[in-house]
Amino acid sequence: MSGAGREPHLWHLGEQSDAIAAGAITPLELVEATLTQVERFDDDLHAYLSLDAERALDAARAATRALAEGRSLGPLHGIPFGVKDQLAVAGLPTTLGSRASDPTPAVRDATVVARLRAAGAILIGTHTMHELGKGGATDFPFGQPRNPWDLTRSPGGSSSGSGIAPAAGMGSFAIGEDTGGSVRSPAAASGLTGLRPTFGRVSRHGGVCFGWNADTFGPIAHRAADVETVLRVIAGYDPADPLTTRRPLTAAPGTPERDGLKGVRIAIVEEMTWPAGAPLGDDVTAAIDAVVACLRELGASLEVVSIPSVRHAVTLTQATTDVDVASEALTRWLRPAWDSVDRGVRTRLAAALLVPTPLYARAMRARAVVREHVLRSFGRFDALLTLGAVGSAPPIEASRERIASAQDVARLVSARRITSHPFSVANVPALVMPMGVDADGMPLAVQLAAAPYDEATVFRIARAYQAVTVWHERRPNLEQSVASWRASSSAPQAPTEGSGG
Amino acid sequence: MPSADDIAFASIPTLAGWYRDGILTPEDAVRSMLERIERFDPALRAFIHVAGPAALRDASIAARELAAGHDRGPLHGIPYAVKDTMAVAGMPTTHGTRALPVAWPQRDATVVARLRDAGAVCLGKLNLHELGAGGTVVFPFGEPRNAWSLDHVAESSSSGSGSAVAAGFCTFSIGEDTGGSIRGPAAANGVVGLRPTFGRVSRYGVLCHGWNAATVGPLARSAAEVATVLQVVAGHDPADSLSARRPVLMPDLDRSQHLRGVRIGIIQALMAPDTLHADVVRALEGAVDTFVALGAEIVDVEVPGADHAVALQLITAGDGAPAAHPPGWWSSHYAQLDQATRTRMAASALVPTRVYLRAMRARAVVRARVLEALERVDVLLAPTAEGPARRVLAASPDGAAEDGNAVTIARAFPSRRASKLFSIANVPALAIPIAPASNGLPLSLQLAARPFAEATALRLAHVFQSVSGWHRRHPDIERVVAAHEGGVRA
Repeated sequence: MSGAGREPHLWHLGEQSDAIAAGAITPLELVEATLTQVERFDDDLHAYLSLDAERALDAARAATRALAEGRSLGPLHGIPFGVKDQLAVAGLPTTLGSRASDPTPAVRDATVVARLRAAGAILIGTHTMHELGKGGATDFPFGQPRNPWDLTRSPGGSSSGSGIAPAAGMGSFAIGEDTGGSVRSPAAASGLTGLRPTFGRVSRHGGVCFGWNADTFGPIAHRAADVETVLRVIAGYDPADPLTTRRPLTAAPGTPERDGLKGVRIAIVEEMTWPAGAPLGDDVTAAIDAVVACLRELGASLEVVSIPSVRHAVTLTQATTDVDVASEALTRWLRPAWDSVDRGVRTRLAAALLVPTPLYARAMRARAVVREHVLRSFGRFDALLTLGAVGSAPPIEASRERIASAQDVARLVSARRITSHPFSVANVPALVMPMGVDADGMPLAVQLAAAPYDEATVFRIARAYQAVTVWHERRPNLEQSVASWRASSSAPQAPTEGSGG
Repeated sequence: MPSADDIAFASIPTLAGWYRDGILTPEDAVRSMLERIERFDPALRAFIHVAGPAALRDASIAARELAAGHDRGPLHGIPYAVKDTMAVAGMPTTHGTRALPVAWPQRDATVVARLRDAGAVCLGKLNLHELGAGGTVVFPFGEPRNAWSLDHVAESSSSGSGSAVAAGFCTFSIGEDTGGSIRGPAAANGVVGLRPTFGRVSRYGVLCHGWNAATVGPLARSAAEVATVLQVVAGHDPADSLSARRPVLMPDLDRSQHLRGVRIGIIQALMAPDTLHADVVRALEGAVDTFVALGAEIVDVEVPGADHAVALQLITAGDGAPAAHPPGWWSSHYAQLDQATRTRMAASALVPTRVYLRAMRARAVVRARVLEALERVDVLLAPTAEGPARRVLAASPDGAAEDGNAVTIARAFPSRRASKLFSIANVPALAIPIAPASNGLPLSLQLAARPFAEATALRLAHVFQSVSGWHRRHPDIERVVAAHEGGVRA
């Protein structure tokens, strides 16, 4: 059990599982170490909204006892995790990151949470998110979440805490929710691997899904293999969610780590890899080139294709999914609690409510066209490759979407979403993973997508890639990054910086 | 040679047999039907455009091919017609409106192209409610009449697709069904009509205002013939990205003629006597008795929310209309549109997005309940319409319904609860004739199956028709027309 000389809470999930099974560490030790990490760093990082420490420790003791008795609780025996605060956890409120939410604790676990617990995983708490879960928040009522690699930078969103926690060793994996890119953005920002599964792959029962035809729950962890382990636990038909699929989650043929990618055909989508109007840094270009070279070396064939209509995906999502969300948020948040909802969120949602039905319907039809254009690629290719994010995580101040003009919409809202929204509109499984670092040492990410329900191909490529690269082994040095942030923030701050919690 | 009446009501396999046995040629059949149309359609108004020369040319090609041993299969030389929302190369498309210029498409809709490849002969374009919307008050091409009584309507919206087949103007037809537009006219005219699963049949080349609910399907005089046509027109089409890739399963119609082991579900809420015409209640009871006698088991099922189907359908079904035309088209053509069409479209444009979305979510819930019910039974049985076809109502010269708003609303929104429920659930639903009403007009029931299980409904209907015989009743068109003329003179 190496863990590259690190402490167990910083190991990846596979190492932790092996060590627990071998008796090298106990679930109690792992959960205690994880909680200590939260205690030490989360006042600055703000990954968690609610902690369930007592119950987590009880569960860890039970898991430790079970092990001593030779009983396995399942594939995630003793592994600590957290979920975006959009999923019901019995005994905890589901805040959606909003002060206006009903604070009554949930009575029952969401299906995803129940399945994870049944597989032996131990819930630590719920994660910070952009208010109401659709991005665009300018402030955070429960404290500004920060990127563990550099606390002045954005941790991505909207499942912000779900990216921070695994990177900071505050939970071995997280469950985020992705409507347009809300799993992939925080995973990319923190140097993690995150999956938006095909819509219908994972039950949404017990989740608050305002984006009712687009919201998907997906895992974030260090490696693709870990993400796959978690997905296999949470995926599958749920009678309580009639939109879940009965299709089986297939396995990649062979062992990708050993067998490579011979015969795998990958298309690099031009519009999502070298986006118009957003010049890439040399570090990003070089990292993409290196990924391509690596995948070729593994036996895959790669070529560049153009899918021009994906450029409309962001606008189409705003004209449709934003309206879905706003329609649900109207009666319980926007009307009764307008003043307490974040300015960025409420402005965006109020604008969406003005979209007339004919325009919405027109945009829905256009979404079907964009989807078809993306799906057409899968006749000739097994997977699509794009940037995982347009550059590394931006400074927090630059990430706030304060819209004052049409140019701001293009600059702040649309440009940064070009890598994620097209695959949401196409409803294909999409995975981001680290592919290098920029000049400041911040993680850069690449994205893979495959045909609907073909998560297996995405995992196959990502696992083969991670078998020969080390980007997923990097961890932020929290002592250093937090200390440096504390030193700088004790200096006088502009009043708009953060909300203070 | 068979008589004109024999040709008019001959089934697809009968015609096919005559062609191959040298008893009749496709040209004979087409000529005979064209004469029938010419004689009676001025009263029936089933057709907007009759493509006589093109049909005779296609029929002679079909005849030559058959004579040369080039056999295109069961539809080779079979006369049919399509709802005038579908493109046929070389024929005008009106969509039943004066608000659009008459289109002369260069290419066939995919269904038409597939039928052409199969050797079928298109006789022309069938009358409909304006733009397929339903409720039309003033029909630009004449009001389509019921094949059994010219005083009664042919129902909306694929009106001619129902009446032409019933009147023996063609052997089968193609209609379009969003909330009941195939099944309604099939029921009113006493023929069989199938709303296939959404995605089963390509919609390329067809005007579809209900973009996520409109389906294209066949009408014929027996379930077996509907199955034959479905087999030709169904299947994935690269030009319609929403068409399904699933294989087309066909019913085995040669299997033993009983239904032992088949479970038929009945949704009691849709059978409540106070919501149905007394004749419908009686006819449904008779049909259920027939199914029981054939060995089927009848099971009561609950579908919570079934009552909301009409409201959910009306709030959401117009959603494709704005995108089907350029921005501003609806408002700039307001005056040219029929009062019912424009009122309906204006109303759906005013539905706030959040109400529309709530209804869309509710549709998903109701659909889940229907699918749950179909887990426990093989098909659901329900009435197609609440009663027989209603009487034709006069319109005032200014285009308003003579009877005022209440009647306009009543005819714009025929209830057809069970039809709308199966549309919302996106399950295949087959309308078949049952015992007629006391005034002689046809009545109908629906069999709805699981998604893509058209074959199940078709087999059950086929076995039912092998013993019931209601589908063999034909109107005596000569008498129907004469009776009306007599009535008009009187």
